[in-house]
Amino acid sequence: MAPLLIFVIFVISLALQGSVLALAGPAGVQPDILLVVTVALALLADLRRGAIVGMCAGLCQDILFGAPLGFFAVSKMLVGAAAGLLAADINKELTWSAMVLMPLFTLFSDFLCLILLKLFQIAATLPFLTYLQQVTLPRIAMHFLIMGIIYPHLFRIQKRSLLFAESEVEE
Amino acid sequence: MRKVMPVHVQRNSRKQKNRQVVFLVLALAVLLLLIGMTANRQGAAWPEEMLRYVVAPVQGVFQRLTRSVESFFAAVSNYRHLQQENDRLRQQLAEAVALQTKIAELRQENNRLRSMLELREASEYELIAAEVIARDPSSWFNIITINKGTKDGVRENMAVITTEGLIGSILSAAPNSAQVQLLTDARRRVSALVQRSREPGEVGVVEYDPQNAAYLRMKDLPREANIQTGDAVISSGLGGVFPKGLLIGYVVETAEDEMGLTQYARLQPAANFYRLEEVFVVISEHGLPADSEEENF
Repeated sequence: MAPLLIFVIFVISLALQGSVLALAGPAGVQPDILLVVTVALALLADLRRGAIVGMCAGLCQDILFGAPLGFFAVSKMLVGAAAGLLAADINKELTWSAMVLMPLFTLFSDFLCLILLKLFQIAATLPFLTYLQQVTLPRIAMHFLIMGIIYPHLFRIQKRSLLFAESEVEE
Repeated sequence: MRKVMPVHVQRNSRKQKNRQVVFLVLALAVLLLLIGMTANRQGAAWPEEMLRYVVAPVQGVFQRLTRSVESFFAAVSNYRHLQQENDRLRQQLAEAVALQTKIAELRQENNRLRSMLELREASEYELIAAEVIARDPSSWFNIITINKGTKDGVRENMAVITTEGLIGSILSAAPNSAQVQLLTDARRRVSALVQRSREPGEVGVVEYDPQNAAYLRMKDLPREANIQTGDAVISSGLGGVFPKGLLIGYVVETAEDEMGLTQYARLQPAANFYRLEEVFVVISEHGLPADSEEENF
């Protein structure tokens, strides 16, 4: 049930991503809702589950949007792992704590993408600094707000242990 | 007071942490290997096609929802504008205004569809009309998804245009959807020439502009090339992927390169890459030469 629910959340996120959210940002910049969902889920889980959720989300993105296979799987897996690592140390009932962490994970994600682009000599559409100015900064603001909307819902679902088994999260 | 865990619990916890780190490192190694193997791939494997097959209809539904939301907000803003101008008659004309809004919307749609139809009829190529159902969220890669795939005759490397001009080519195709790699993607380039002069020796390569994502750049032009601001740039057909004569954009400025050996031009794309709704896939006899200068890199 839990993996199916998470898969459905991914599918809805991906569908929203390419359609409704395309209207959201200026000059073609749109939020990466899958990243927000990954961080939110990882903050409700732990390192291992955060990494798995991130990897699956990234793989879906790679497959659906034609990026080199594994590109976003790696970046989102590491973001999910990092968020999962912090899961035990934050007050999960406070939406603010997730919202405040989101800009850091957005930066971290873009930084990882840059490293992967350099590592595999994939041509980047924009130089990193330009990307930071034109894409990352507006996206940080969007992700901050979207986390405020998404996180409370996922927290309520997790409170009923529908996403991750409570015993595994406690470990 | 701090609670001290028994030794066996501490050992278990350490073991579990080690397992997690091993899992993470293994997964990372596999994925990095995968990226290395697929960094410059063309096409899609069957599991990818299957996932796309599942998600494409959902994306289509959300896209229709988006259009409704967009139409709704357009209608609201139009209504507000009229409210300011016609405050006194607002209540009496509410229905008429709503109707007018609807008519304007239909007229716009009619014009758009008519221009699409005209293009289709006037074009020397056979075209497949498609709707954009998703866009890559990352901004690292400029790729859109359309709702037509191999079932409709879409194949890899076919050119994709709008009523305004060339926008890119098919990166990969699933049965009911396909990925379009836009000209603004750093991995895409097209061989082009200036429409006014049509000098065969003045062929350049159009690619993304690293300085400004809103523009394209035509480079490798001879220093003495006859190119001016406002010139239309079209595909040359020499690269083997894009048919000849597809409008790419207009020159906004020209300059010499750092060495002074060639010149380049900054182009305003003819198509609006940020607002792509309906597109056409050009069915052409062009092959997929591996060594083409228009190939992905």
